Amino acid sequence: MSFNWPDIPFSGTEVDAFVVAYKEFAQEILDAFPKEFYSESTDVGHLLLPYGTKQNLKVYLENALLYSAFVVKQRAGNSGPGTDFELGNSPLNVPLNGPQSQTLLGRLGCTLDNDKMDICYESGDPDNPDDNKVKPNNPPPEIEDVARGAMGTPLPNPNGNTNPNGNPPEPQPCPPAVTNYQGGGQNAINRGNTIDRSLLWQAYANAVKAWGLLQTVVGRGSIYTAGDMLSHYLSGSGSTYTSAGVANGVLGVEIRAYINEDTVTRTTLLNPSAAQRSAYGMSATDNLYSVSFYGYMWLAAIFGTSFVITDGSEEFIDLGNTGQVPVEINYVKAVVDDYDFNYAWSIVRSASFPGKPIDFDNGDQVESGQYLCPDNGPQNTVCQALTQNGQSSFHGTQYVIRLPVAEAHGDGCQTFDPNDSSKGAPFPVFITFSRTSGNGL
Amino acid sequence: MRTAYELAAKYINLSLKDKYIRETQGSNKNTISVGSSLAIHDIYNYQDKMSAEPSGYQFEHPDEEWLNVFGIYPDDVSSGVGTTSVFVGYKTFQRAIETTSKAMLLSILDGDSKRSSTVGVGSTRAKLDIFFNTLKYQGNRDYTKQPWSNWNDSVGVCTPVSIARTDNVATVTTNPPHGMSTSYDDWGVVMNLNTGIGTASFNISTSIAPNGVPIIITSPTTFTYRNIGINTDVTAVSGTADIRVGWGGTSNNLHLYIY
Repeated sequence: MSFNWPDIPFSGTEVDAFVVAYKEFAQEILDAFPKEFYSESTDVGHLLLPYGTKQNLKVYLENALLYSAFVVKQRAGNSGPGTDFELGNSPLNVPLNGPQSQTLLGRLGCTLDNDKMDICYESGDPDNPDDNKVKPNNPPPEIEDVARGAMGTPLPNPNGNTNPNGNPPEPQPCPPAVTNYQGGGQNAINRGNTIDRSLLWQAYANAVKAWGLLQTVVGRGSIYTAGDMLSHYLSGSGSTYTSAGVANGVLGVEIRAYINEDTVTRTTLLNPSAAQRSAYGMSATDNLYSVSFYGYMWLAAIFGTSFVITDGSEEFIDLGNTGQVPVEINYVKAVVDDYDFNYAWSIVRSASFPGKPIDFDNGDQVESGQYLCPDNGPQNTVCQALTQNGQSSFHGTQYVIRLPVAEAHGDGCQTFDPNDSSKGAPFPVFITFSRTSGNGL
Repeated sequence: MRTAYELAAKYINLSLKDKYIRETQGSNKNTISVGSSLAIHDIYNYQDKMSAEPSGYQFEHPDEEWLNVFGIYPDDVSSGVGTTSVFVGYKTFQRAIETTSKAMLLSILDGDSKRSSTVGVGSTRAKLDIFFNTLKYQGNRDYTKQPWSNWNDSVGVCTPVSIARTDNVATVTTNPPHGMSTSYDDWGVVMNLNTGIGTASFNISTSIAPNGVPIIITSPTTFTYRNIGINTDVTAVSGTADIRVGWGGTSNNLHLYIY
């Protein structure tokens, strides 16, 4: 097994010697790795999981060389590139070809829309002293490839924005499982699919619940809750979800245990306003946290990042840079969230707090999610929304929930009608938990 | 399957990792610029600047492998880094590289590897011991050997006489002067105050931060560290500030240019 070493774009007495020693030692590590070189107590089986295979370690060693050398170079205090952190002295210069640059720019959120790029170019052109913007008598240069940018009559967008290109959602190669089915519950629009997909997704949600019910025996309420919340969404009720039913107690214990596994990275203590405390029914001593549930797939699928209310009896420790974090949560009183999606219906709050009933009368709205109905740019199909316009494969754990809700919504921009349950509906989540063994007692 | 380029793109951080350093280093920008070139800052900076603690496998759960029976995982579930049979997310990848970098520096450089830039003269066996000892589960480490035998050693103690907190930054004044050189940016501190208003909230637990928390030297008699809490006026205190050394702050901040 040989290494593919990266170039080290800086040099010096110390760093050169270090790089030589690094490469020699790296080879010695790999040579020693598969053997019982050490006593039993130092067997590789006792290494942390990422370092448990020779192949992994090889990749890490290759990639760690550059940064290790950079650290040594910094310490040596030599002059030249790589010795400070001014951008002009950046030691790396990685050229990317056109498609790579475009992909990277796209992932950075840059708008690759022709009109906007033209305006941006005009504004930034130093040879354009009067800052002449794009005008009808000063059109941007013609662009040969109009496949994604042809001009046309803008499509009306129910969210109030305008589709600048006027294109309907473009067809994308999607797996057969994805069709333009639309809806949830008994009122779903099946559009002639051989299999009634509304029934399919209801059956799917019920299957998840059934499996989740079994999992409550081993202390997991999140799987049942995932199925139950999906079912609630597809039914189009829109009412506040206040309890996970038979799994509620187990779910509270599971959430508390999840948070306490790693309070440092999973919790952020918030400072709620008096209005927020009142809305959430919090006492003066209750604490409100923002909790990231992305450490466990089923909790992530139902909550993502949500508010958690505790009884405030937890102790805190100050971690300097990280800040004030709870040592251990004793009692999770409630979890608060909006069950909505960027690739289905999305709740836009302006009159009420997340987790509280949607106040349509005073400005709260439900709109098509940004992945289906961007504020700027063409509308997207379900397939486009779920696959980032075909850039990612249409598989993955996240689609356990995303696919049903996105299909229920349907392609592009839609107008939400609270009285129409056929397309599913987002809903507030305010699940409260009693004190029970493992959560508060 | 994720290509090498896509993996690299995910591997890049677009913001300075350490908020405190980002806020206190005016010359560091946490933005990207798109013009004639694309500048991406801070592809590397140790997540944990004070400790040698290795990072493990991230964001995976035993259920996931079992669930894969139903085919609900990405196609590249078995084609992560190397030939591991489980998917390795990019955060695991990035942190594993940081850990490996630390393990190599600890093994190769002389002394305790702190601040050293010269190669040591240890035997292959001794270096291998350090390398693998760094990467082990806590229960399997040999704490009589490096890095654990000397990593958290104190390099001095100074005497705080007052402390204050503004906007979640604590400012400590010492008498006599603390003696730390501003030519280093790898200092850490374990505060242990005994008296004064609310002093407990300023203290640092060695069970959580065994090598202290990073500090910024602001004068021969003052330094600051990030400490979240209510604003507190200058308050007389007694106790100790145990000085330790980590990996380095902004001096280890490696940037990347992409044209």
